[in-house]
Amino acid sequence: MSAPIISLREVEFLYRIRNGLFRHFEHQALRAVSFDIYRGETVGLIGRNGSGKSTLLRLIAGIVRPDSGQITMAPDVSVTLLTLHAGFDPELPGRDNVVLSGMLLGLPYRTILAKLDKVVAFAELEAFIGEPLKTYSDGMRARLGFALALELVPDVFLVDEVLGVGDAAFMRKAKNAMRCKLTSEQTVVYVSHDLQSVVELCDRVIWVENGLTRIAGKASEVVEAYLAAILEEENLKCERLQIEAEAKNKWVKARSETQIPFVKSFKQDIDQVNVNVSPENVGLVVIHGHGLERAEDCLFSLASLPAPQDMGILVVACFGSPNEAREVYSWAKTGWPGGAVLVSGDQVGETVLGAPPGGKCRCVVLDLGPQSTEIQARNAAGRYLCGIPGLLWAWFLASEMTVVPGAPFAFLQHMSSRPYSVLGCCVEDHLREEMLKCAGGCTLSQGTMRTCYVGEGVPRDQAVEQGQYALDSVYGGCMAVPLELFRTIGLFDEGYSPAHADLDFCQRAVQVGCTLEYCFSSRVQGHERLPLGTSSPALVQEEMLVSELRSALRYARKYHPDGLFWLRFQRGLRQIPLLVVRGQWKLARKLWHELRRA
Amino acid sequence: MFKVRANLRSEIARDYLNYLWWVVEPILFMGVYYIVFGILLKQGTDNFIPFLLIGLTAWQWFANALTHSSTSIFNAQGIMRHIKINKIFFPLVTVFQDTIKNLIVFSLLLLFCVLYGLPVTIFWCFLPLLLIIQCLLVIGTCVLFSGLVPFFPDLRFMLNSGLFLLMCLSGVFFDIDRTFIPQHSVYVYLNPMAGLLKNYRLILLDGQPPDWGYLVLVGFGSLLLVICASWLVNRFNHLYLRAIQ
Repeated sequence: MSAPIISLREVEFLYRIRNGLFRHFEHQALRAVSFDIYRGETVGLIGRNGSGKSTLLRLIAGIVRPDSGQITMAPDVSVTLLTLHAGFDPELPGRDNVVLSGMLLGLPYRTILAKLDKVVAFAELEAFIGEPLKTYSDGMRARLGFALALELVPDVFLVDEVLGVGDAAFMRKAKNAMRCKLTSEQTVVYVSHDLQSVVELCDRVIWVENGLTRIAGKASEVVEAYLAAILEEENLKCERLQIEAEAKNKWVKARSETQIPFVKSFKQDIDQVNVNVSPENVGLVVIHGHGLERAEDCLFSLASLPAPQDMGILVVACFGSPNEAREVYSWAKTGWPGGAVLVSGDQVGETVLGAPPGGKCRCVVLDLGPQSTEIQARNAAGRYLCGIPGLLWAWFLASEMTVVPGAPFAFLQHMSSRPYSVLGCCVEDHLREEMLKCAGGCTLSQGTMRTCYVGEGVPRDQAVEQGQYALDSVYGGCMAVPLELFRTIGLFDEGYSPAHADLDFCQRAVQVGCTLEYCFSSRVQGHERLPLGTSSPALVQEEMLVSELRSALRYARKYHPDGLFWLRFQRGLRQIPLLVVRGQWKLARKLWHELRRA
Repeated sequence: MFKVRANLRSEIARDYLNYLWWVVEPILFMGVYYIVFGILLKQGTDNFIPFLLIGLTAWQWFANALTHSSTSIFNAQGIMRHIKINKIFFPLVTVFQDTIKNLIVFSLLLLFCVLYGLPVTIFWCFLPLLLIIQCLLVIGTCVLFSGLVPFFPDLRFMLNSGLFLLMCLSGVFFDIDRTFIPQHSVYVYLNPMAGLLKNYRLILLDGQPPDWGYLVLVGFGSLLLVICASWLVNRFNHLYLRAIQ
């Protein structure tokens, strides 16, 4: 084949539209488009709206230049982008407009004058041609523009969706005329959504999608592929809508049949709820994290769950701020067939307490992981891990666990087949890999490993020495435990310092017959919850330390009057073990006071 | 040129008084200034009416062309989106449009001068030269502004105040040599419009030859401006459509 008349190589085009002093809207219309156009052929461009077809035509016409890439043309090639009524002036008579537009499109004045009668005759506007254009209807204008366009004879003709002009009779006439023109020796690039005409007129078709050439080749084949793709997408969309609508209908129907009151404080109304909660059939939603957008995600995830009618009561449990949980709850109490209750994080265990370990409770863990920005994540990091005890509990009780995939817990599914389970969350992607490594690695297979946490300020080697495994990042946490040990709940997250939930959790675990080993250490440095108005960082640390320790002791005392409780207190890098033996609360207090003085 | 003609005809078609407006509008304008400065403020020098008319005619040409053409590229998005065209076309069309209108007004002005009884001297032969120099100045300024406005649309709002200031400094309705102290008037003549107005008046009003040295300077300066502005618009030719979108 001869050399191409026009050739595009890796052409990119970015629309940058200013909508303020320093604000821009950017749209990458084309990214790396390459193709050739040969003399005498008709090339069709197809694609969805906004896929970059018109931009391509403008680039070929030389109206705009590409940001990068090359458009090379054979020498002395004239290219015209066919536009109806370019430069038309409504005040001028039709005749002048034809001349004006024709000259703008590149015809010499005399040529237009010579062809004027022909144009007018084709447009069937003899009676109006002396009247101002403003007296024309839209159809008449289009006819005039089209008739003029037919007279243009550039080397390359770029045609953008212009066949649908005028009434039915004119349209037929126009199509025929254009067909004659396109099938002649004229080189044409033809853009249209009328796929039938594309197949009829074009030798080759290029399918452009999202600024890329998807397929280029024989007209019928490309159009077929394009149609198939559109059809498939439509089908998928329909199916999805149908499923969603059905699920919603079911829920709404079921909801009208059952109603369960909103239990504000679960502990107080526990009897009332116990009546309704059937251990075999509890849906547990763990909301993990903060922010209302999480609630939206949560709702969305719930909507996509299969067979919602089997889920029983929905326990909406929150570990972060209660707002998002409320949001979900307010939806769930009408949308969930079994109704819903709202509980706070440390009551999750209690709520599903009726279910024995490994029982039949169905648990839905909605991953509402770190979708926030890094800063938010950083701020939330301390509290982030709060959810983990609840999550563990859910895991512990669940015979069947649905994990809705998403950021930190996506790998739960992946890990559940291994002898070690990993629960964790991380803000940064690279940490996830690290966590996976950590779970599968031999370091954790000793059985002595109890807690694995990302320690701030604890060097990795040291942490390993201490029987802890540490990851290097500050923002995130990880727990890795042997499954066996995990079943007896022997792990904790040191970042979660107030220990309410931890201890509460321990207590529940003991109640259901687990042996408990509790390793607790408090890490104050870098903790974000500093009391307001305190000036000295050292003082702040001290106070927080004390309050945390106090809290830990209080809870230990409350829930473990007879148990053995071993507290290891970490302050900076210095470790002060606290051994609280049965009934030895005086000793504990003494140690605490010593610590406070230190 | 066909576009110029077409635009003029389009403009005529839009209003009922058609051609008449090209004459009536400047006359109304001049009337206002005459009432304010000639009668109310008693600024009148000898022959104040022709003095004012000459100033206003030349000034209005400059000011109208600049106002109209400054947004010519900015407003031509419709054509630019579809046709590959050198963008200098748009300001030039507007400038020529205004120039033609002005030539009509100018011939009326000459007629008025004759009727008013001002002496018709041999120096009137230099008037076309003066018009050509001013035309160059107008083209240069208009092309430059039309080329800048798409990138800095806010210029449009500054243009009117700028033009008003320039009008006050060009001595349209007062005699610079009499009003300003000599130290200041040197700087005032750095404004080519001030000098051009003075030369028009020298020829028409006083029957004297123009200030050749000044005209040569302004002529060359304007030519340079035309070249630079055209270069600028050509240089950014492909960026205008993007800047406007």
